[in-house]
Amino acid sequence: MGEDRVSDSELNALVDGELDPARQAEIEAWLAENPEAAQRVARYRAQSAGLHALYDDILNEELPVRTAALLESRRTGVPAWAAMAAAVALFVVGAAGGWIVRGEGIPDSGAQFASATAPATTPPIDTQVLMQRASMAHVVSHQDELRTPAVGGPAAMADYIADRMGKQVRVPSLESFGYNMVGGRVLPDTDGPAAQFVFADKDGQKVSLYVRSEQANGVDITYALADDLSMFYWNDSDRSYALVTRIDDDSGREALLTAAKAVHRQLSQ
Amino acid sequence: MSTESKRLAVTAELPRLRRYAIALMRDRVEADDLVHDVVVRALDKLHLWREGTNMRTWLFTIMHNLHANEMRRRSRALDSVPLDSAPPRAEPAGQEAAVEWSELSNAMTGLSLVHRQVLLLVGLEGMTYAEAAGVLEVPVGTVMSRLSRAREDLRRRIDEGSQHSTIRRIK
Repeated sequence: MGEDRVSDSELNALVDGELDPARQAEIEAWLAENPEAAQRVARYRAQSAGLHALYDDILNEELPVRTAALLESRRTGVPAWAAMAAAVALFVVGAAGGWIVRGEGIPDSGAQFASATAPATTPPIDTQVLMQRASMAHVVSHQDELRTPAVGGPAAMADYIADRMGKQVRVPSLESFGYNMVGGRVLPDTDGPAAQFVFADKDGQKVSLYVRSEQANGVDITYALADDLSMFYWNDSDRSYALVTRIDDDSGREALLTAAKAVHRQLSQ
Repeated sequence: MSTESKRLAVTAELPRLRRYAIALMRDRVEADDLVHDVVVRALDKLHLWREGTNMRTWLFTIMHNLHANEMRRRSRALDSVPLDSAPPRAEPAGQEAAVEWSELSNAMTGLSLVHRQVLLLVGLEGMTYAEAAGVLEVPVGTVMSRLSRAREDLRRRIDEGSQHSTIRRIK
């Protein structure tokens, strides 16, 4: 090859396929006789391949719930927070437990109904057990039964729960919603121990998060209601979660959803 | 193209936007916040997107501008603390990848923001120099010189990685 030296920019352009074919052929011929430059090109290519190895898995991940809900809401005209709850199929849980699960997109549909969009398959998580356990734990959670978080903070609480549950559980925070942690505990459940975290605001209004071991198909944040207890539940690969409180008005429910989303995000980080 | 089709075109690009945002910011929560903001902005401005132009670079440009604004806002708030020196708060990918490619990952962490941007846009997203220049709103020549320096810097950092292993951040 000729007199002109190959510049750094040209080596980069070769890597990125930015050269015209004639120049590319020239440089490739030149590289055959310049192993040091050839090695640099190989290194640059390896960098790009490494970036793909590091980050390509992200392409296969689900979009975050709220972003998916935003897109869905623009499509359907249903508010985003409602689309989020309704993003999952609407289905009815066994009447024995007295629980009604409903999509938020349909206001005041207090009666049980089976939606046309409901999957014919088994519900992805055992919602009935989750709801019963979570609501029972919520109602019967006096302070003296709880491990208080005062000493050692969230880390100590996480260790306490992990020791008794046999696996790590993240300790969520609801401080930004005005709820401080009252305590946590481990309770027996069908698939091994479950964890419960109890929070309260300055007026004593209680919110609790129930975490039980369960491997099931993913379900998005979904609303459920029984008598005067409201909850949002969801799951990940090996746990299901329910955030429970005693409200049944729209603003309270929306506040609970916001809190549920925050907890969901904290726990799925 | 109908609004609905445009929205689908936006949705189709979101995995790539997320990949870039997570790789760039090294914090999934912040990256997801940014992507969400991009979607909000893009849906508002959908009428401004011209059919036949590149939806991907349009969205990446929106993201770049939102990110730049956020960085400016924070750097004002932090008053001259260089943001790029802030330690990362999250590993970019799954556990195995983080271990297997930890040298590269650590080396990327040390790069300046502008070098990470150009490396990721060209090396990961596969954009042409012209597309990357459009997204970053700089001349093509600037993309080329940054890329050249970024790759050399990255190469050097990877080579030095083993020497620095003792002071690597602890997860």
